[in-house]
Amino acid sequence: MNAVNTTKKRTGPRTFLISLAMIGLMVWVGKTWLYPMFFERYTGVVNATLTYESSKELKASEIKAISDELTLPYRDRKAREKIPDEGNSFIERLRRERVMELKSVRDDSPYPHIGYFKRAGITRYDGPSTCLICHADMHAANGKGEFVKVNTLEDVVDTVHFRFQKNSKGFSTFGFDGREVNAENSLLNIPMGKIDRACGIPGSFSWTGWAELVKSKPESAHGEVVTRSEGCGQCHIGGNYHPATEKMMPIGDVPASAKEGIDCLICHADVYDMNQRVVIADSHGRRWDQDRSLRAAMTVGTPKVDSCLNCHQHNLGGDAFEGNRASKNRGHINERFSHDGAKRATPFSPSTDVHSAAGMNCLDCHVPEGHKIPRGLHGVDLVANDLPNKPVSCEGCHTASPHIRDVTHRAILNGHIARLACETCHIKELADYNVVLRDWVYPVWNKEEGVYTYVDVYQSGKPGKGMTYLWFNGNGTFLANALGDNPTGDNRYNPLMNQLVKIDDPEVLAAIRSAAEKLKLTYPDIDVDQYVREAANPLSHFTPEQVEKRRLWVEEKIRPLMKKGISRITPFKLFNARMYEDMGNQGLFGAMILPFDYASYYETGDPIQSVKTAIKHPIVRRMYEAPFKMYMMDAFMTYFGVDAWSAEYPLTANDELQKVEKHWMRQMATLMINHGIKRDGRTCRECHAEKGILDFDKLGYTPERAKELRHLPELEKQAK
Amino acid sequence: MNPDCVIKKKVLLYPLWLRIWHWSHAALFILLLISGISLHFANPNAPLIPFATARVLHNLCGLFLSFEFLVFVLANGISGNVRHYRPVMKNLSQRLMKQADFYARGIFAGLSHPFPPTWEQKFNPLQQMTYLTIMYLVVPLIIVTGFMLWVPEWAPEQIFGMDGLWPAAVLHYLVGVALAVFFVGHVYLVTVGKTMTSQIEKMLTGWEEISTTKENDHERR
Amino acid sequence: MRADALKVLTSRPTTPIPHRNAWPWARRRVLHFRHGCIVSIMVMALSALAPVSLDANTDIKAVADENAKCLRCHGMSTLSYIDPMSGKHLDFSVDAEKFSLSDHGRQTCMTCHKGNFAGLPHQPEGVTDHHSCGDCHTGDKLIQRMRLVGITAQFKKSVHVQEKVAGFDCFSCHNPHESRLEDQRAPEADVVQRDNGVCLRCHQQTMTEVEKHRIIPKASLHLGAVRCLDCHTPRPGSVIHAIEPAERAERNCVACHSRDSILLTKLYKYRLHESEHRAGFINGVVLSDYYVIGMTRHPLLDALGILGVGGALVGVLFHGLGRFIAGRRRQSHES
Repeated sequence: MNAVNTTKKRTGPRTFLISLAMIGLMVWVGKTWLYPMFFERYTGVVNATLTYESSKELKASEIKAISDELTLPYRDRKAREKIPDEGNSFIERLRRERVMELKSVRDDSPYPHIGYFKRAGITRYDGPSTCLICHADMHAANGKGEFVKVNTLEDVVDTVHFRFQKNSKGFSTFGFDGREVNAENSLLNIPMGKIDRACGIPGSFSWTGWAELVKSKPESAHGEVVTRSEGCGQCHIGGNYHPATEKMMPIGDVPASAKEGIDCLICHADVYDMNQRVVIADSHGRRWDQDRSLRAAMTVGTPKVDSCLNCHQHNLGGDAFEGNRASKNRGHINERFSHDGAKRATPFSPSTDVHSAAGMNCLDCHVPEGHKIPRGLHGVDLVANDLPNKPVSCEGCHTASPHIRDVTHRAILNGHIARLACETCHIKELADYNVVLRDWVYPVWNKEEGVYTYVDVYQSGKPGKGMTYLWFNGNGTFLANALGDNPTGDNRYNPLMNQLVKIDDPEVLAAIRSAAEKLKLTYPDIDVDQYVREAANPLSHFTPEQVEKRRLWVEEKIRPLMKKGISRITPFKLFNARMYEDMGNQGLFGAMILPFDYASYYETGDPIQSVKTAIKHPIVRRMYEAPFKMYMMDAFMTYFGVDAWSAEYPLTANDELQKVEKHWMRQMATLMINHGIKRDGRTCRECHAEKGILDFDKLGYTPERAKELRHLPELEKQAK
Repeated sequence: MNPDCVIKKKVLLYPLWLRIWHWSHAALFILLLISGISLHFANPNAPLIPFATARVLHNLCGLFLSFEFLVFVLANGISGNVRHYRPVMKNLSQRLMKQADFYARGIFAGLSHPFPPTWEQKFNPLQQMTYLTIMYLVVPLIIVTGFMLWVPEWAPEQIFGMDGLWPAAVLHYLVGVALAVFFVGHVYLVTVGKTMTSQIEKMLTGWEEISTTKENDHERR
Repeated sequence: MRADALKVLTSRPTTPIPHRNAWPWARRRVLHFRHGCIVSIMVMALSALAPVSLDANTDIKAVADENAKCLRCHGMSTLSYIDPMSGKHLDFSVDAEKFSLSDHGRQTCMTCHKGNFAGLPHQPEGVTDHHSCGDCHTGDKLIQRMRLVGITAQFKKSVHVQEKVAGFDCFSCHNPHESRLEDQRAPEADVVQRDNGVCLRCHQQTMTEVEKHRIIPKASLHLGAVRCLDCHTPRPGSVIHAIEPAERAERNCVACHSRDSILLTKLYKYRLHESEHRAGFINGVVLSDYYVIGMTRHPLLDALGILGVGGALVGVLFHGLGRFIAGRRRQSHES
């Protein structure tokens, strides 16, 4: 007996090591092959090798011609500096031509990569693989004044610009259940960000509206069908058939082919052709094309203002903003749509923003660490943040005492900073095409674009109308409502029960009414009164008990969040949308909105059919199944203020929608506005007056204090 | 066991890794003890080792000791040496009493050890219990509390409304005392072998004379 | 007793201050002689503040109303500007709540600030008041009570005065709008944060504190747990106004890490007496905030340790001796 035991014990270690190796091998095989295969089958996402037409091999002569053209303005300026006018234009020209060809002048010209490519024998731009030949590693700032070596590709893949979400800590968002979104760094966190955040402005999800081709019949084409591009992917640096879905899981990674689809040049190339940014279809599916020309690659450097604005002017200024370079170059083929109604309507351009006029680069304020770009400590709209602890603030440059010029009033102006955000005075209004109310359920024919489009029931950039002033402590709710409270107040400030659920400005009401009357021409069964009531009061379909329950909920769960930190009066853009909602997942603050399929929506103008098409997408189906429910949807819903996710699929076997209703969101969303800054701020009397832009009563001041604030003795004395 | 079959045999009970571990552990232990005393009973007028030196020494030795502890646990498991630590619960209290009785009386009467080392079990019951507690409870405890004191950020912020470091500090001290007591006993018991130095010899060479039976014998070469 | 004294001297409502270890003196009935001394110093110090301009009949409400006129603007926490001449950030704000609770909270603004404040917003040229503690705290008695003589002597020895730092005076560190003598016995963690905040206001920009303190192990931890003053003033003793130059800072670990730690005369000064009684620990601040290695000890545990190791030594000694004698006997028996 002893003998047997001894033998067993002596072979133990070997068996142990062998089994360890076996487990390792199995894990590796599973991770590399089995899991990705399973994932693609389960979610229906497609991955394939990505090719781009603009990525072409160029001949030496072509390269020479392009480099001459790109550097011409610089060399020309240099030649003019060196050779002054001497009265003989012929001699001048000859001499200048010589100067322009000098080696030193060529070497000194911008776009040093022209020379690097020449030396490295690079005659074609292949995407990341070309960049990584030299930039496999980079030295990224770590925020402490030091630089650390990082793998460039990994650094990019890990950014929000690629992932579209984070499941780590660092959201300034709180659920309606009172919990901070992903409060700790834990495995149980759910991936949150643009990838899975439904929103009424685009009216779709990132999967269901990633890269769409729409058949339009614009007036200008006289009945001909013109294919157009649409979808979330146009502003994504990945060129894949879907967003970086794999990154939402705690394990697994996007495949190498997706990483090869990263568009380095849209940020780094000085000369990037936005006309290449259109949807293309191949045998695997639809995706967004890129400018992968060697010409663009030759102009790489650190991102300039225009690089960021290729995408971000879309939500800052909007497509309708005339200074939007990208919307002027909407595609050689499959032209992108120009969207009416801007998300923020605060264009960043020399004529509309003082910092742009000063020639500042975006990265001057948004100082990056490697490829991670900070968006500041504040945020209301549930967007993942790569550097949640890195401030992007006015104070960073302007100090805590920014007012210097006005010697008489500088102290009192600075005094206001304790209660007012800089933007309150220095953004006076938004562009007038700022969308406030967008109705997706009554599409109308748009002659110019040749498709059915949503209706912007109300657009305005005026204070009190398209934008409002709220107390803000830097945080927001799960549905993008600014959190904050009047620090001197007695809980009478309550936007979730007052200003965000009631539109009472007669001018706005009149505008809604006229829009409804116009809609009635197309949809005769619209009841105009009801239409106005629903748009102006999104709680109108609530019973009094529900309203009361909501009021108590706000006091119990939201008030403590409002009281956190330091609140300042801050301007916000207001927004509400009407979409179809899954009433099985409804709470006091909203319901799960259902996406629209762009192609069917635009082409047929049948919103119901469009919703049906969209929710048949494999990922939306999976959302309504147990694994997704357990993985993230239950947690998602608790943030919504709903106990659990109802996995009842809103489409019946007979292709009928069930428990789906059309509703406005239960309160208006409030989006931060931080660009479009004006040098001159508002003056005292614009607020401290009987009809000032700040509604002191709604901001939670007592009637006495509000009156006092409207009638400052100093100002009254001066007036007399 | 048939006494006729019993043979005396020298076997390598203490493999090289074990001996290296044992002696380096001992050295670290002594250094930790001295530096620990210097830190706890810090006195500007009569320093055993200057505070700053003692701190560095204590931290470094502690780190090495933690590492060695991990090596010990791993090697102990892989080499099978852990068998000596596996307690046999049967008649444990009687066997413990028997061994204690030997130390209290038998040893003075010159009786032979009641549990001579064998290939399967080199420890006597009392020894086994002590070593098991020391190596798998007390040493981990002193390592954990030690790390808490070294990197206070790792210590719990508060325990029962009091500073979280305090219990760690007191525990570290108490466990240190317990180990010092163990150390005294351990060093003394080295002398209770067949001769005064036989125990230390076997820990240096690794060879120990054991009794075994014939049928088991061929298995282990 | 202390609360009563307060009530007589100041008719300000005595709201309890949320200290974790508030008023150990008040709780303990039997007062030590030393406690008595400290309490009487405190009472005297407080009484010194009272008679400056107020008599018992002053209408508190009238003072508050008067001050409210100023605090309309000066209550704005960011009322400040950057002085174009010096480039310095000039702060004109007064925390109204802190001021009302401060030792000067019953004075009107105009008691100290003289000048022409008629025009709004008033400009710097209208205001020419500069004062020091000594402007109000005059007369032999007052000076004695405030211990201003001792403090002035210490202050003159401080590095800031010796090195002739421009404009350095009492107010560089002490904010007359917020100071409260009572605050000295806040929990150590708060005291450390507050007092170090005073130093860092100027010194943070001129040097990275942690860099300079690399010689201390766990520098950032140390800087958060002890006051700058504890190492940068003469030792031992509670003299804290004679701030010393960097090169004379305490560098000896054992100065703090020993039973007779200098911290006991500085940071833990007010805790020293109570600490002895806490769960039997010597220097038992351990039980609330910090465990200071080498300083915090328990005599019983120390004894236990010495007894344990000593007992083991004695035990093995006797056992060995027994074996030796028994062996001898056996040998002689056999022979």
